[in-house]
Amino acid sequence: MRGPRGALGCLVAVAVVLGTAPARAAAEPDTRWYVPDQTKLQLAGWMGFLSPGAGYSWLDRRLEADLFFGWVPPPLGGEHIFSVTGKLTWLPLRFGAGKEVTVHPLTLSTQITYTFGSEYWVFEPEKYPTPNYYPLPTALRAALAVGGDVGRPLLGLERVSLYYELVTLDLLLGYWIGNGESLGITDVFSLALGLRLEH
Amino acid sequence: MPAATRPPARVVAPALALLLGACLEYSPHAIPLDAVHTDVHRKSLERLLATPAPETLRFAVVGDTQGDFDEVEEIVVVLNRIEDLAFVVQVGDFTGHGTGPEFRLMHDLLRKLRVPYFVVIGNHDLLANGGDIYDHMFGPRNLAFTYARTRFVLFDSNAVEYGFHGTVPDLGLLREYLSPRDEYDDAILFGHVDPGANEWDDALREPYFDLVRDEGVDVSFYGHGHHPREFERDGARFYIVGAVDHRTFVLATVRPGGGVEVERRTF
Repeated sequence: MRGPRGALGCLVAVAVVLGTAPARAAAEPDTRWYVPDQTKLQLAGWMGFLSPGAGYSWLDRRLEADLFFGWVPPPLGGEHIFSVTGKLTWLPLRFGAGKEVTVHPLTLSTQITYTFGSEYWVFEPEKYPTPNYYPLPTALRAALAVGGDVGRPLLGLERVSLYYELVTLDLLLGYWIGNGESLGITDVFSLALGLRLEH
Repeated sequence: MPAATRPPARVVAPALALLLGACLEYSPHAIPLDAVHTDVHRKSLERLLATPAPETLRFAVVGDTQGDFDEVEEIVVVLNRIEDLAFVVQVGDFTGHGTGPEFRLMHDLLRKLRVPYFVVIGNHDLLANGGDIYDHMFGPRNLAFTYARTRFVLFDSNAVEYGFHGTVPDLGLLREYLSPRDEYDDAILFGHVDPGANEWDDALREPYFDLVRDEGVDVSFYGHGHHPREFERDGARFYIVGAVDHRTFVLATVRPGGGVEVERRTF
């Protein structure tokens, strides 16, 4: 992967563009189709260290689709790790509608992360003796999460919320189901925290 | 909370950071960096070499563990009950997909062994950036040491993962490892892929058998094949240990005068 300074530059540029989108759009009504419905910044959750994301929502904001860019720096991951994650979130319940503060007590999400680098592959390399030598691609990992959030209108934005998620990786969920004695819930679920800006 | 009973900020902040750090996962490919999950072979070797060598040396060999955490938890209990066990070698496919959490969780189970343990790198462990994680968690992919007048060599035989370019296994290095003949009476080799498998480099198959014969290696142990089996060649014995999901492992005894007895056990 290219040098860390290039990556950091990209990360900062993306964060600035996404983060200022609501402020730049605030002057006029947000009817442009390409302006994201929400931008996010997530801590952890298998998708990177601090991952900026943006996406669109449907069904009165009950369904969100986001794309995140992930980077793990060497002090945290041992080496640079770059990825992109596509995430789908279902927010079926909302309380406090009409009042200032709103809560989503239960959210469910699923995500797929693609990790960049020559050591990771989606389509199996030719070198193996038989087709489908390994059962899963190494560049793609899925995760499932349950969570919740709390938010309110702020700074001219429709809603600013803080969210948390308990996230499990596809492999770990599979292992937990098959190994109930030796693996516990804390081995398999980890914490993610995030900020969501709804425009 | 009254000011007198509020914990000081200098305690709360680091405590929260620690708690958060333990719960946060940044990537399935993040290399575990904490001391417990680093440099395991160096520490195992230090422990082993600091222990006076017994007259009769006993060690256990465990096959592929990938994903079978329950069986590994059970096998640790069984191994901890064995008298006079000096160390354990796991012969590769420690993980299923070479990811950080798999390495971490499997090591957390095997650390409960009363004795030091070593892990040979397997083909599954080389997936993704698993090679980097192995290097950081265990150490070099080829390792040799002498204990109780016995030479032990752990080596990388996963030629398929390297594209069969003739350097895995590193036969020159193996010869070098086996060269201090006056140091040992018996030589025992541990690899993951066995020389009969098609994941072994074809060009290095006969040269390896020649090396085993020339260097007088009595016994060697391998994983990869999930079914336990063995074969002999020019008087040397080759054991495929069998995966833990077949509920089997090997117990080996090195006799004082020389000679290695190999026993298969179930659990």
